[in-house]
Amino acid sequence: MIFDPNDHSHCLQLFDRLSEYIDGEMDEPQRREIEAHVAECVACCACLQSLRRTIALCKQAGRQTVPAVFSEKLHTMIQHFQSAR
Amino acid sequence: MTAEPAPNRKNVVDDDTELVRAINAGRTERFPELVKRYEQKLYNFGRRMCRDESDAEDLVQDTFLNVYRYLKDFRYETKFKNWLYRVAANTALKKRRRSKFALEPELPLEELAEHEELAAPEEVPEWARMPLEQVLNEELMGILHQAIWSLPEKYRIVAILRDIEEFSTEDTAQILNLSPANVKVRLHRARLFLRDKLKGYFSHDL
Repeated sequence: MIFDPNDHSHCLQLFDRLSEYIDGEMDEPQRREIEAHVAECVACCACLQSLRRTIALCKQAGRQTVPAVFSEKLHTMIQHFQSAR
Repeated sequence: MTAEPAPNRKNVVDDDTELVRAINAGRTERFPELVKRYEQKLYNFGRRMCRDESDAEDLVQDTFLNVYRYLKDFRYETKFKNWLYRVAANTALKKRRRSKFALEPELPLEELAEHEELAAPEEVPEWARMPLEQVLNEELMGILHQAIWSLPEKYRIVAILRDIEEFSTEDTAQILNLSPANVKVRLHRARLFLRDKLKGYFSHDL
């Protein structure tokens, strides 16, 4: 396929499928289509990379330990609830 | 009475099945084991869903109380974890509806498409090329959490379940009672929204 750098209609069509591509939820022909386009289109390549980075950051969002005071309160509340029933 | 799957229905067995069956068979003294197993995960889910820490704690408490009340209705047809998160998601959504009556805004894809980027192609931005460990810092995590909180709830819950809790599309659809296609659309819009917020942070920083 010859990619015309001035024709962005193809970019817009692919734009709403980039997450499916990143998540590996596309069939082989669709995946190949995206890869061929991204290899030629700097804008879509930039978009794909920044979207990937965003997802990676979300996955690193960090986990907080449950505060001990809250955990104790939760277990006490459950005990009271159980004994009241 | 323990709920048994109807004939011809799938009976899912997972790491929680033995414990859940024991509790439903009357060994309710084992319920705290279930709480211990999931309090950390639900606390973090609550912290992502609620801006306020006390709201997050209320969400965890109310979720476990609802689980205790309704566990007998669990039919072993899904993973227990999916059912638990469904209870948590419903608890979160009900809480919001009680406190606010505003309609949830949509995130139109057209506005999230970077027209300027498509019109004037540029190279991969530096923040997307740098090693992850170089860009991760407390300030960035703060920006990310603010961005997640600023997502409309129906997008936020999908982003949290898919990209933070790492549920599959199918499991997320089951938890939220949405079609997989709907989950994909909401997730993509949420990710584009978050990318836009993060890009703003890096454009000031670099």
